[in-house]
Amino acid sequence: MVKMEFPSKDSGIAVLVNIDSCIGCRACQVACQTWNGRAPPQTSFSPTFTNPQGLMANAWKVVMFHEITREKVISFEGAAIRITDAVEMVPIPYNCLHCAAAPCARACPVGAIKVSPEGAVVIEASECIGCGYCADACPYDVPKRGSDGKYYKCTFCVDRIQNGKAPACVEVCPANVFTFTSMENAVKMAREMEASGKKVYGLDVDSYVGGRVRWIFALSSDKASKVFPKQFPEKAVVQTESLREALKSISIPGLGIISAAVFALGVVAWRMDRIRRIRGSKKSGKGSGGNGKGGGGGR
Amino acid sequence: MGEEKEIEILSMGTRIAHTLQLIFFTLLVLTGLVFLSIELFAWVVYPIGVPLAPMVGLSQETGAVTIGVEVARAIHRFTGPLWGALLIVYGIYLVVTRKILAFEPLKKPIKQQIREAIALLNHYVLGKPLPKDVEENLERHNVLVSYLTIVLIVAFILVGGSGAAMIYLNLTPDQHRIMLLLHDIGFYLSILFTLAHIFAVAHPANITILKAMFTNGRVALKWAEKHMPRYIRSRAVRGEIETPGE
Repeated sequence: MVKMEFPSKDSGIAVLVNIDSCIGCRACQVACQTWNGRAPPQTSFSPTFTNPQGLMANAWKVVMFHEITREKVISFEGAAIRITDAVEMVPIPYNCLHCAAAPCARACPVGAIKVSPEGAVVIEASECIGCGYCADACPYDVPKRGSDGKYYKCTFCVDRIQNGKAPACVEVCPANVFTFTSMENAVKMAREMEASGKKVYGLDVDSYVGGRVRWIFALSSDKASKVFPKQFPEKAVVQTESLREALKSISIPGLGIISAAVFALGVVAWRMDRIRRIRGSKKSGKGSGGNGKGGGGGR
Repeated sequence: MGEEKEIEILSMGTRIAHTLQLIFFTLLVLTGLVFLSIELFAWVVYPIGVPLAPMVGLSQETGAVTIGVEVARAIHRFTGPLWGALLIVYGIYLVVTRKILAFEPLKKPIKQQIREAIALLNHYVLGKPLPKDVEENLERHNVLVSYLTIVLIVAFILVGGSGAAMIYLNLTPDQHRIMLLLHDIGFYLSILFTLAHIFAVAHPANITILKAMFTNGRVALKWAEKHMPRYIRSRAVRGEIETPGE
């Protein structure tokens, strides 16, 4: 748990993901793979469109397809008639959310997870020792262990954004799902979407992740009520990790104080013992031996 | 000046086991602290990493701590199981040979235990003399040692069990998180024990035992009669030593 300076949650960059516009083409997934030179992961058949099934060391962005059922209703002579329950796909382009105060960066014992001034949370692979503390600390299940034992995840295309370009996934999207902008602007747009009845994830989340994430998701509320609970944790917090941090913040100074107190008490005990022996030797008129200490029972 | 009578209160086996514990525990604490709080303990691993970083193609500036921590992690994961194995073997030996004396004071009635604990705390912390009845009934270990031993056992179970699980079991992320938390709690408890232990053994009343631990395990019989009279009496009854006061 490293003490880190994070850019303010109101500064830096952000991406607003308008999920309603997403057509599930997975161009973003492929662009991420290509730009970052990741080897294609082994895929498998599954009962969903999502492939691979989740984020992997070589798949930093995955479109997660959520199946929901919605009533199909027609109006007939003023009455609403339910025709059927239709299955709908809601694709969510998912990657690291780049928390405002990334718990993975706080958890990394070697400081291998850097936070750029723009707010991109990046694992420096050459410094990663593969301890997995980042994965333990992440409430979004993002960092994944690679075959080399190191952990990998989305870098927010920090190499692109620091050269004035948008992330690869953002640039390639044919449906303009992503709005890559300043955090201030993204928050403003997200609030407007919220006001228009959409549900937004990422604006007011737990303080464990800094209260906000830099990938903000918006979706029509009828779909969001079914999809968001499956995709995002109810509370963006890892309780055990949060408890570890709290324990550490108490224990390290606490143990320091106790150590100092123990040392001080020890010094006082030796001083008092010396005074007692000097007084004793004065009374008896001769020096006492080394074993003249007070009682106390075996250690 | 006649030679003072001495008795052995710490056997060779105990002293070897204690020294091994000391080495393993120190190694584990130092290497573990690096993981717990790198911002405070990077200096522990930095000297190890400085010569090694260039060898693996990392700069000394950023790589020294990384490599140092990697070495610390390897030591931690190697030493931990060794220490655990030692503890298990030593624990079995103590149980089988019935040499566990640390819990003897717990056989006393609870009221007497509390009275002894308060008297000992007053003695250690405030320098007050021990009441006669407490002094006369001191065992090989006092009641505070018994309580601290319980803390130590809980700490070792937490830290050892969770450590072994993290190394050897294929845990789910949630299980791993819980183990990490338990590992931390066990560590804090073991440090609390260690601080109390260091205070006790470095106290003027007990320094004789500290010297015995790191020399021949023997103390003056007179000293033992004063500090652990009940234990000496029981050994005298068993005929292991001459009658106290002789």
